[in-house]
Amino acid sequence: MKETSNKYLITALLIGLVFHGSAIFFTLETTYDALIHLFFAEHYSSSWFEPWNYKWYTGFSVLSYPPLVHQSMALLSFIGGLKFGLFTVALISIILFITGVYRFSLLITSNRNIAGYAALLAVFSSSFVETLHLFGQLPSIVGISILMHALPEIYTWLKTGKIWYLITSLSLIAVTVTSHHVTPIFGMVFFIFPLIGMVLMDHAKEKVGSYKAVTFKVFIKSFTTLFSRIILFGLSSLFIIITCILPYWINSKNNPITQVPIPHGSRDNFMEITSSGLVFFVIPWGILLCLLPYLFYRFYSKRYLFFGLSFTILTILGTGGTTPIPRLVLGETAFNILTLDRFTLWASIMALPMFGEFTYRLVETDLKSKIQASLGTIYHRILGGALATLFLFMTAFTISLSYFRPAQPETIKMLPIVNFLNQDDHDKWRFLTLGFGDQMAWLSTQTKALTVDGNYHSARRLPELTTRPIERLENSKFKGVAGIGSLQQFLTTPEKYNLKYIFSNDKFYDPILFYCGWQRLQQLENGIMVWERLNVPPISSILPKNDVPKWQKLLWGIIPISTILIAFMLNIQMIWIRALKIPTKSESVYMKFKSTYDGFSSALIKLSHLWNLILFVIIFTSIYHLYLKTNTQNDPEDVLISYYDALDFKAFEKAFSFIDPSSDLSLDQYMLEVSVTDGLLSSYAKLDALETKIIKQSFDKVTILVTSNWITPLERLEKEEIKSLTKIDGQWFIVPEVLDTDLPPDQLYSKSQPSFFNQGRRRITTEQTHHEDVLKQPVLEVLHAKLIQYKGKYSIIGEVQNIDNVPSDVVLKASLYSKANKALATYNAKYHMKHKLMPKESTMFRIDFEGIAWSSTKDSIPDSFNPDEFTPVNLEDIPSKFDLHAAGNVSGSEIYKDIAISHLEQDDSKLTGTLLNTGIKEITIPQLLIAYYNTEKELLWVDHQFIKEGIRQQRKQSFEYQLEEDASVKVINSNMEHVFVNGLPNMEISDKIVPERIQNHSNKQLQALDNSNFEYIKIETNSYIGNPN
Amino acid sequence: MTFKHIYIFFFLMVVFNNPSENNNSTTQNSIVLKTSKTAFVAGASIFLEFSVSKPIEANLICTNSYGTTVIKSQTETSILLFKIPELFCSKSGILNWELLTDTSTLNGQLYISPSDLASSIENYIGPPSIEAGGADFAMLVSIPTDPFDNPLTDGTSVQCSEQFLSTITTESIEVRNMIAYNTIYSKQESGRLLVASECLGLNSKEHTIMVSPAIPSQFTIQADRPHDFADGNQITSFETSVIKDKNNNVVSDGTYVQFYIETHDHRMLQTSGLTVNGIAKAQMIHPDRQSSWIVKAFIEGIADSNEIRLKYQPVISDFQFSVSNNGRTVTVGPFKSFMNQLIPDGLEVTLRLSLNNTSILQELKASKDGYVSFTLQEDIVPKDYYDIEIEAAGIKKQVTHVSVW
Repeated sequence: MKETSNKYLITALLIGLVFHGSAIFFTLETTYDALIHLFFAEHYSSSWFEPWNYKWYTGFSVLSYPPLVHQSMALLSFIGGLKFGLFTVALISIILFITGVYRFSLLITSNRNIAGYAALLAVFSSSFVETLHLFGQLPSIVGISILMHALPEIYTWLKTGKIWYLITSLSLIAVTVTSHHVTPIFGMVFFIFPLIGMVLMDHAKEKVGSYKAVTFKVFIKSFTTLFSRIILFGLSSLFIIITCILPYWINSKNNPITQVPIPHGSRDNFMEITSSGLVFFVIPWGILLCLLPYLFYRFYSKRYLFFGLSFTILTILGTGGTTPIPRLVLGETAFNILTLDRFTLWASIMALPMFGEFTYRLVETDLKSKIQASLGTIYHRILGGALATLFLFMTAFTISLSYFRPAQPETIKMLPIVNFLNQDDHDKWRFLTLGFGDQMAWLSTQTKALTVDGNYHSARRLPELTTRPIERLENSKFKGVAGIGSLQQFLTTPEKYNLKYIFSNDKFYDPILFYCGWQRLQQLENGIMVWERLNVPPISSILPKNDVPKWQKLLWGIIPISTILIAFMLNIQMIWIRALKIPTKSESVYMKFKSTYDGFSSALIKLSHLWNLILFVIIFTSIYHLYLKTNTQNDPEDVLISYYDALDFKAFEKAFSFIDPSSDLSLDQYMLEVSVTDGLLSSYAKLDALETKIIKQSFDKVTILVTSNWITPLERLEKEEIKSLTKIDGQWFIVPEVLDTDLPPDQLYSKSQPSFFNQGRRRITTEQTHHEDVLKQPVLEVLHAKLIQYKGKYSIIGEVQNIDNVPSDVVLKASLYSKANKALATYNAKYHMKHKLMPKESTMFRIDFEGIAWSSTKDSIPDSFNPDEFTPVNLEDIPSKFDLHAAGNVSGSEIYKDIAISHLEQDDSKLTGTLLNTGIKEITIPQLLIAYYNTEKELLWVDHQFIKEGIRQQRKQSFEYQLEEDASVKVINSNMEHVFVNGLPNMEISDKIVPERIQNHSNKQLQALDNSNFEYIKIETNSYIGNPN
Repeated sequence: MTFKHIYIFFFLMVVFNNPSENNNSTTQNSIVLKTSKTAFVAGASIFLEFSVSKPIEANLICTNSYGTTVIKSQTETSILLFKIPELFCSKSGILNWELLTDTSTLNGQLYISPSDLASSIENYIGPPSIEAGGADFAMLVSIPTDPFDNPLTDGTSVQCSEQFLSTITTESIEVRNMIAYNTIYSKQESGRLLVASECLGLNSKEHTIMVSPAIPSQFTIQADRPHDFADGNQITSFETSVIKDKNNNVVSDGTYVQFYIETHDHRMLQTSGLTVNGIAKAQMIHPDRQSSWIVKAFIEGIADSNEIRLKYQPVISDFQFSVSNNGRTVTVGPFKSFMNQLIPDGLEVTLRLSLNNTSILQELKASKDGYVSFTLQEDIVPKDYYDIEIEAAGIKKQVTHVSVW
């Protein structure tokens, strides 16, 4: 028979290619996943047969992800580079998807027009747009598209039993499984099982003449008839799924995913977390939500019954944590590993044929005539127009969602970073990026340097990472306690991972870097700040790897690509037939089961209207509530919450709108006051929780105690403030606070200070640094050190002095040993020391022994955020000895010392005082180190406190500190025998440089305490300068 | 048979049964080393000559500290001539040889001495900085080598020159065990010590040892302040004398000096300074109430200064305050300073409100233009009779039973 071109399909392909093909150049690189796939592609392009990748996570195996899409990109990259590969594969996936939907719809509806409509709708389907342009899940798209191509072949095999169709369907399943492993497995359940059901229905119908006559008995009879074909297909596809990516299965078995589940938005309760609801429910469903009654009605007709069941399950599973059902159905483990958005994606794709059918009926046949007859032509046009508008609006909204809510930081120019890593052997150490988002994958793609982080969390290997629910260290600030906690461990003991360079694109992390002992190296021309840590050894030239047998490597390198070739060769005939419209002898078997469209159920029309009315009411009320919350000032507590929200997002103009207009404060003045406040709280904190409590209330005045919880990189902060509000014309306003009026006496200050520069290699050469250019390590002296136990934790406390003539960076590393000299734990000093010491300057220190958090109690991770979280190390024995290694390295940066204590007062257990910035740089975060002494003036404990507010130049800042009361410190060992400085025994050094040391020199200057269990304290100050220029 | 016959019989048996052995035993090949010279200079060609009575195949194994090689004879006549490879000829030290033939081995030793031409001189100096005072030292290690990179012979003299301040000295040291070394002790003064070496007319490049000052010794401090009033605003500066080590060298820039200030009520304040040209400067804001300070500076464990005493006179002896008619505004001031000028902004004033000896409100405000004004909000302070206490600059004032309505 003569087949005419399907003009809808052609149109769909043309529009699809133009629309998506031009949009991907603006969207794909900012998606979550695309750059990760690009990274994998780079791996295959440089070492096709070697599955081990050293670049991420101190090495991981690419056997953990099916390779086809990556390998295709890698092959294409040989023609035009990696990005050419990425975009070409994306274009191919668009074509595959549109044609796949066409074939799937044709199979389901047996109607070319409907299939054409479905293909056209697929182009703009919001779930497809989201998966491609927002998530960048290319393998997923390729997988589902090929699966849709496979469905007609499977149908034909089951229906006719022609072995050729078994072969073609298996060839397509092979391509599916090598591009995405989850798709065929769940595809089996959700697409192929219902397809089998449909084949049986059709078979039964042929037997008895109509679907109505198909009874259970007839159905079972058909089942037994076709049983052998089903089994043959099932077993052989199982075989294909296993063998095609056999190394993947072996790898999963050998390295099971034993990590703590990473929270994913698709598992949230969409009612509570509306942003997840939007991204994982509203957007993928889009306009299909309005058509749900129709979809369910059609899917529960007898022929599609099994698709109906599958569609229902997919719909429910896609609701994530909104209902308890998905958790019950999948079980706890699967629920926590799977990302549930894929179920919604599949449901929306499964609905496309029916959506096409609906559109066809609305535009051309019975629904059109029914509506026109009962509700009028105008209504039909309005309805059609409204649906089309809504549909296209969802598409446009989805594709530009990243414009409204950027998922990624601004595009970072990578070239300066790549150049930096290539220079001067910088790639001999590992690096870490902070605040790069998924662009870190793109950086890794371009450089040969290694990072401790990575962007494919299933492949993580370090227990520091796998025991925590974080994807990357890189974005750890969004992951609360676990994130910053993990990051802290890497920052405190970087030598363990040969981590020397950090590229920071987010100043949020700056304080934690500084207080963990890192220093700023330079700002690259793309604005990225490079931080470095001294005293970190380079990576050894031979790195460990988990090798796999050669046959696995060959299998992995050869089979996936050959599945494409085989599938192409097997299906090419069909493709040519379709493309060239060569007349075929018979039309496909599934074309015989056409539905007739000659009467649309009135009840369904009514039901749909009612459903949409309910939807409309829900949407309208939620928008109205949002409006009430954000735009009116009817309730004083809401006003305060909005005010703090505005402050949190630095929307100062909005914040100002809540300020009492009758106060004389102008916007200019307000902005000025905001701009002069700096510090941990105003520059580095994110509002976490806000509690308001009305203390006093009268008709037009109210006083509220606001307890705000802030997340900062260093610790969790709680701030209590008393705010007054006043009511003006029925609206509540906040009474502004009085600004500190203290004025420094002078206008202009001058200060002469030494500054230092270490130029490293003096000669411009690629050779190893000449020995003449290597500075001597500054000599330090550990004045005293002791192992103590306080509140159940073991710590090493003491004092260290730089006795050299150059400023020094100090790294302190201590190990605990049992009585039997068994090494128990090793850790570095973190916050409790000044990491930079000027000549002859000394610092108190405390080294705590942190374990890998939750490594033993995997399931008891606290929900609340606490960056200050401390996990004591799990010691096998009782520590009785320690060793301490102090390492000095010349460093002239971060040496601001101009901070004085200008006032001090003890009020019972509270210490209050004033700090004075005597220098000419603004101190962003001041820190106090407080050492406690007993009556004999022996050091017992070292504590620290960050001051929330910064200190401007030549100004004061008050502080409050809660004194420790429990003085039951147990000194276990104060033997200094195993203390080493730069690898040499501490004793010898001190004897040589300071032979006549005045012991307990400044003991007279200790601050005596009243009524305290500790007798004396000493306070040292440290300061972080946020903007050193 | 006679004994002779038996002997001949056996002899024939041996001859017929084992012809090769026969060959050997009859004509034993004698190999003799003909080269008599055993000492060579690196770079010269070395031949080893052996005379053999019969041409045979023989290999010579050579071993020196670089490794081992096997060489074949260049001739196969009655003289075996072996040419030692160039690589082995240019390496100074002992060269062991061993001649291998099928039957016997012969071995011996050659000694190759470095050539007496110096072609390069490698210097290592460390540490690059030492402390003045004469106790600390750096070491210069000089390795003069010949054109074949052999360290020169023991006893070769190396001239080691130093320049420090205005003196230049040269010392002769000898190569021993392949290196020449010299310990360079620091002098009493700090400064830059330049070192170079020379060997057989070949000169090294210039090397630097920084002699840094030793640990500081006692110093003095002095204070400088615009006036002696406790206005809580002006800055008192402290300055050390030029801090020197015991040899009178100014301590290195950036030396950290901690100033402790003990107030009359035994509160320990602190500030710090870094030295520039030996002088450290530190600042401290004036107290806001009468006080007296004892100031002492420390370089922890190493040196300290004299104590200086500073007194700060009260700037405010008295102040006024007024309560508005409805009792809701309390105005404190004017605060006048020592010349009756209005006090600079920022004086802290505390208001305490109590009702029947229970505290209702405590509020701290800073003065502006000589005044501080407190407003008692209706929601916090209901209508009643209150006691008001104002504290500023260490002075407290009270009024009781103020009606607030």
